[in-house]
Amino acid sequence: MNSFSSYRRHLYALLAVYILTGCQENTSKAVDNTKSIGIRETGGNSSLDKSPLDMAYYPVDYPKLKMTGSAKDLLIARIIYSRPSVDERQIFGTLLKYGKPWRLGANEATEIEFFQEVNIQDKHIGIGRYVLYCKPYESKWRLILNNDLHTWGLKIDSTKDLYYFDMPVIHLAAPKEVFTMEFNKTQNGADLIVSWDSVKIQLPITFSTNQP
Amino acid sequence: MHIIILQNISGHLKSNRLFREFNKNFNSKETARYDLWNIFNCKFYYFYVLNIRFMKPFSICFGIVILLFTSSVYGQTKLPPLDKSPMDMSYYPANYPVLKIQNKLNEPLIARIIYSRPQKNGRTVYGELVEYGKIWRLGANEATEIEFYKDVQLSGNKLKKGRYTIYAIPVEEKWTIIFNKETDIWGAFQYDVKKDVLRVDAKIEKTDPVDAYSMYFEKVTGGANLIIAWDDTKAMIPFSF
Repeated sequence: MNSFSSYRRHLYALLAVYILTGCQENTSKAVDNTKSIGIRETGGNSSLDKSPLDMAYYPVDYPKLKMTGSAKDLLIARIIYSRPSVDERQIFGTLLKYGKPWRLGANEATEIEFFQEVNIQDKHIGIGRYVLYCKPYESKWRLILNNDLHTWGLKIDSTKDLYYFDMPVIHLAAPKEVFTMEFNKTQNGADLIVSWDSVKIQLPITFSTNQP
Repeated sequence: MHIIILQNISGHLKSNRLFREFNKNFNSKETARYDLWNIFNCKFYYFYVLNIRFMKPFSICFGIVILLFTSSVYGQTKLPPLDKSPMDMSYYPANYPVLKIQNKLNEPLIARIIYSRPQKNGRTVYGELVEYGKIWRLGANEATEIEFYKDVQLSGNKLKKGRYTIYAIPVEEKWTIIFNKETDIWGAFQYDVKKDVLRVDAKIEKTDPVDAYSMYFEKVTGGANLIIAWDDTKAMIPFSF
């Protein structure tokens, strides 16, 4: 009996805690928002980025291959992007609204450069640098190549869209905490694999690998 | 009963931002201590204040012990860290992409540098980690890349627009900065002097300690400086356009 009433007291207390912390969570969320727009500062600021920049090459690890003298194929592509973490947030449908443009990463718009001519689906893509962004939907992603380079990813000028490709969403057995983009060799080229949280997409890129 | 409630609480804790921050930054021993701080500071202060009149001292202790236990479990489920020396980039004009979306650009795009950022971590940097008189990739991982979107002048030499790998040979009193046309390469291990495009001297200054290796551009009259700052040293490479 005594233990039951003490349990009830716990419940009241817990309720009070929920109410009180409810306000606190709201304020901490407000702080989060300003941070996520966060502008990477320059100048003497030496703090590191929460969503660090990274790059991926095709051929995979091209700089290392080059260093060890084993780069046999031509350099085809490089992607430069920032890597946010899931951080226990609900990503698709919540943090990233379906149908709304997403910079495929964080901070600056994601940049892809082709050093050779390539084909994606039935489109011929010329040598050069492009912004790559995405409109995610529940069952497919629309990947878009765009010409508006050197922009912060929150505002991409869609009038400069060049090509788009719809790719089906593949569900992952093991969730991916950190947003990742990588190339994977295929028979006629390479797939660009984009994965985060519980999904991934594969964008097949074809090209001829002439010897340098 | 206690356990059920406290597990609820620890679920709350897990979603608490501060808790996660601490978890990332401290090892598990320290984490436990910071959890307690966190508990009293943010969440459960009210809980104990409300209960303290009714609860026996014994059950208070019980609660704290269980909290410590659960938090040490969370201490072990740390996520694998990102790159130790993460990549970063800097533009000239500084923050060009942000200025662009804010429609605040008043200068054309001149330069961009992509580099990786090692941290001092209590080590002696110059003369030991970065050896004097030896070629250095100016960062970590891939060799540092600089791109000019316009032709520029460095110490009276013209450098054509394009993408270069940038290296340094630091000695105590001055650094030699090297622009090399072998791009997309790892480190300075295969540095080829035949692919040099330009060598210039950088001015060296002492600075307040900088923990994370930093490269950035700063506007000066008649052009800009590329600044390399790490530890107690700042190198400046002036250029005009």
